[in-house]
Amino acid sequence: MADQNDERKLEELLDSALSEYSAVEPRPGLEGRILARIQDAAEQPQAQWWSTRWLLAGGVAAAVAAIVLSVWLFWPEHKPIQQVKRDIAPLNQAQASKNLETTATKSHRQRKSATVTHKESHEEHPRQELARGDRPAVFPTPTGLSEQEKLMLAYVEQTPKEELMAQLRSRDFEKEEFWKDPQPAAFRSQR
Amino acid sequence: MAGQAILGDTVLKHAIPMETAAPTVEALVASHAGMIFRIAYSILRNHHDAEDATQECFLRVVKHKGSLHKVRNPKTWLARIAWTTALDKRRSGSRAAISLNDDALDEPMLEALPDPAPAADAQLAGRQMQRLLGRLIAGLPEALRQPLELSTVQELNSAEIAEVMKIPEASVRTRLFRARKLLKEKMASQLEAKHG
Repeated sequence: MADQNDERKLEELLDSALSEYSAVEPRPGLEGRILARIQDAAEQPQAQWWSTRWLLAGGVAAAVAAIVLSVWLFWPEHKPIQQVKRDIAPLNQAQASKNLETTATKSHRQRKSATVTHKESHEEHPRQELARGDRPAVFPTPTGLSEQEKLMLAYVEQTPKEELMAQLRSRDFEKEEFWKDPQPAAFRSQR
Repeated sequence: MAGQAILGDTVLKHAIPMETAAPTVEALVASHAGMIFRIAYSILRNHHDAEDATQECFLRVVKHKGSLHKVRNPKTWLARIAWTTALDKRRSGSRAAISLNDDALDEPMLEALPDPAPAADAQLAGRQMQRLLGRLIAGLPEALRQPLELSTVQELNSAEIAEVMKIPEASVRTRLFRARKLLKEKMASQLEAKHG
């Protein structure tokens, strides 16, 4: 009987202890704190996504800028062009046709002195194009013989061939003698 | 819904399920936060950890927000999430090394405070009893301890505990019986040793 009583008391003690074991109340405002944390968690990935997007955009922009810069620097047509000041007044058509020869020589000199690209000079200077169009077919320009050359030619034509050959031979002989003799005759007579 | 209420529970169980709107997370928080906290507290025995586990539990719920409409019984579904979350937290033991049990935290404060009312003796006795019970439960095998811890939460009956633990209800009852028996034996021996 006493054992049964003890058993019952023990049972009651255990029941009351177990009922109090988890009979706790959370601190006030638990629901609010849970919802706030949920909201924070929902915003955090969004913020991460935004930062990732900005990083990505920055990377792409930097890559594009690097590509554009490299193309600009290494592309042959885009190499820095040395600007040349030209103080040449543009010529009109009439002047060009009037002074054909002088224009050709002038344009040649100008082309030599200017350090612009060939292509640009083609596009920017129609005057040079004009000079090239009026350039004579034979270069250098054929000119007539001088007076001295004409006399020389007449002498050669009139004089017989044997005489000319004899003259040439005698001249050659004198040259040979001059170089063979250490003291030429003219030199000896002076002494 | 009013028509269904007239039919009674028996008919409702076999009735064709009606289209019901999925509960929102806010609604679940409002209706079940307290129970979740108590489940977590029964396992972790610490207010701070229990609240942390409760928040973590609802974060897990948010992750499955899209499939809330598939949940048949939100109460046991949430209880299971809370139970696994708390068990994970206890297993990780990250805070266990630092934080102390709530009872242990209260002890120096209780000793330092004066004892103005005679009811304080009873409170102290109750606290000592709780501490003893906590130690005894902690010493139980895990298979017995887990259903016993869940059974201390007033909101859960044995059928719901079975659903939370995914074991048959009969097993829950058996385990609870064995756990209680072991506890009674240990308590008796402890009390005998104290009172002679």
